[in-house]
Amino acid sequence: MNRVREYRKDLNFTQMDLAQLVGVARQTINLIENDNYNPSLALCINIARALDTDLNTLFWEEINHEKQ
Amino acid sequence: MKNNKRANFLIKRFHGIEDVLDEYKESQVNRFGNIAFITLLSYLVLSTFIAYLIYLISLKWAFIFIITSNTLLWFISLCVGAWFVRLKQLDQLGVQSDDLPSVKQRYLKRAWGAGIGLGIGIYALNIILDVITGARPFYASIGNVSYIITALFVGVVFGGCTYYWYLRKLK
Repeated sequence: MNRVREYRKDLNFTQMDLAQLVGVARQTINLIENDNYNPSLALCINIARALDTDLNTLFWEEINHEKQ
Repeated sequence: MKNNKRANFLIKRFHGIEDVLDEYKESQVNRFGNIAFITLLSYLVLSTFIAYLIYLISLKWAFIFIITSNTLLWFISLCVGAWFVRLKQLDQLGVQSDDLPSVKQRYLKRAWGAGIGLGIGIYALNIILDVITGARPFYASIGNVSYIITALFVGVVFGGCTYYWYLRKLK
């Protein structure tokens, strides 16, 4: 799960606010937050800029490769 | 760039997308377009072949087959397109509560327009068909009560359905 929702709420943005900032529809932000749509790199960068953070923080997921 | 704008305008108009045509919507519309193209091309090949086979027996029935199947396909395409747009929420419009009355008012006007347009269209079509087939003289067709009632009924029902359809866009 990405951290778009968490960062958006930290900045007190609604989905509509963020959508208008990055130039997409509110539904698209909702889909991204729920991991139902993989945004393009350009859109990811725009979202990261709008939320004043970077791509890694928003979208990078650590995978545990623990060996038994 | 200009062509792209025109294409976007056409796509938005065709699918009833009022909000921004962003990358998600564009990808969904493209996917739908590809599937529709493959389906329609297959239909074209198949229906032409069947029409040719029927033509070998009767020209009249080949003609009837083409008209009927094309009309059916047109109707089915319309329904599937509308269903897809609604399923993927492509036409959803986020409206602030302050703007809601004005948006509803705009939709009501559009629905009125659609209803009146279709009603007049049906009425004119009936008159044209009468004149072409020679079933009634022009002035008798114009005053035909059943045509007027049909046009009114179709217009009101279609206008009402259109308004309901528009309201379902709002979120």
